Amino acid sequence: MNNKTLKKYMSFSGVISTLLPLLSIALLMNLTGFFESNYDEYRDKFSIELVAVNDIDDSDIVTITYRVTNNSWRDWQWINYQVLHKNNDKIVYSSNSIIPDWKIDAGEQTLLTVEVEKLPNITAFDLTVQDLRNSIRFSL
Amino acid sequence: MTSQSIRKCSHCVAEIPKVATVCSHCRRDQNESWYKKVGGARIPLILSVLIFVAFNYGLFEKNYSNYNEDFDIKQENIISLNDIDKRVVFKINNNSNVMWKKLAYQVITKHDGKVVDVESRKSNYWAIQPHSSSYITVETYAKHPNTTWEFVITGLSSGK
Repeated sequence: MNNKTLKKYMSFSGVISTLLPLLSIALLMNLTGFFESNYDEYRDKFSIELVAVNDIDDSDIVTITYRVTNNSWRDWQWINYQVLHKNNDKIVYSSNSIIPDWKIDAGEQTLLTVEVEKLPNITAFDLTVQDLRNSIRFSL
Repeated sequence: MTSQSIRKCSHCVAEIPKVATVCSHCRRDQNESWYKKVGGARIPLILSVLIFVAFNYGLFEKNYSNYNEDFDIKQENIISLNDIDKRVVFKINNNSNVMWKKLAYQVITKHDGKVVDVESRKSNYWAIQPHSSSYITVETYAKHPNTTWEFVITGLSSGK
């Protein structure tokens, strides 16, 4: 190995040895969600519209479909939501759930179908997004 | 070579000329920075592992007991399922600037103001954003006409 090649190798290995620890810190911070945005800062960028209520006879479950619009510039996934069951504006039941596989891209609309318990005299189902995770984080 | 012109290698303790920058025995650099001496690239790796462990064990999590005054709870509705079984809806307001999740709570049942039952429960899917409200429905019972329920938050995990 001549001097020129040795210098080149040394500088390359120097860069790698400096970058590797920094990259590993960044990776671990990424895995712990350090770079994630808070959904709270983007709450007003979302709108939810009821599309359909599918009340199946002889079933204890009602399937409700909502159209969710994401007006933010971020992609989101993993939804935590709350459905409020109302009877003439009075809340008679609330349920919380998570859909880990649900995704919505930036500036897009997507459907969200949830299943809730069938209760008598319900006049409205209001869905609230309680939390979302943005898609920066990747999993191993 | 006089004793004034020699010194000991900082790594293998062999005697080397005072002006030597590399040890003639172990070939180690005599002008290494403190950073390299204590392990160099291992420091960021150890730090990153410590950060990861700290995150996983909730070291940076907020403690709900420091924020419980930022919460107010109101009974929203009571639904009678039959003569005994009831469904009570509580509204929880989070006036803090922290997002909370994984609600642990107690439902205290009272007859004529006297505590007759305390039930501890947990709702892992429940979450509340900063400066917002959320609801929780509890299934309970009333064997007496003057039954009241008190809702007490016993624990919450802080979200990001």
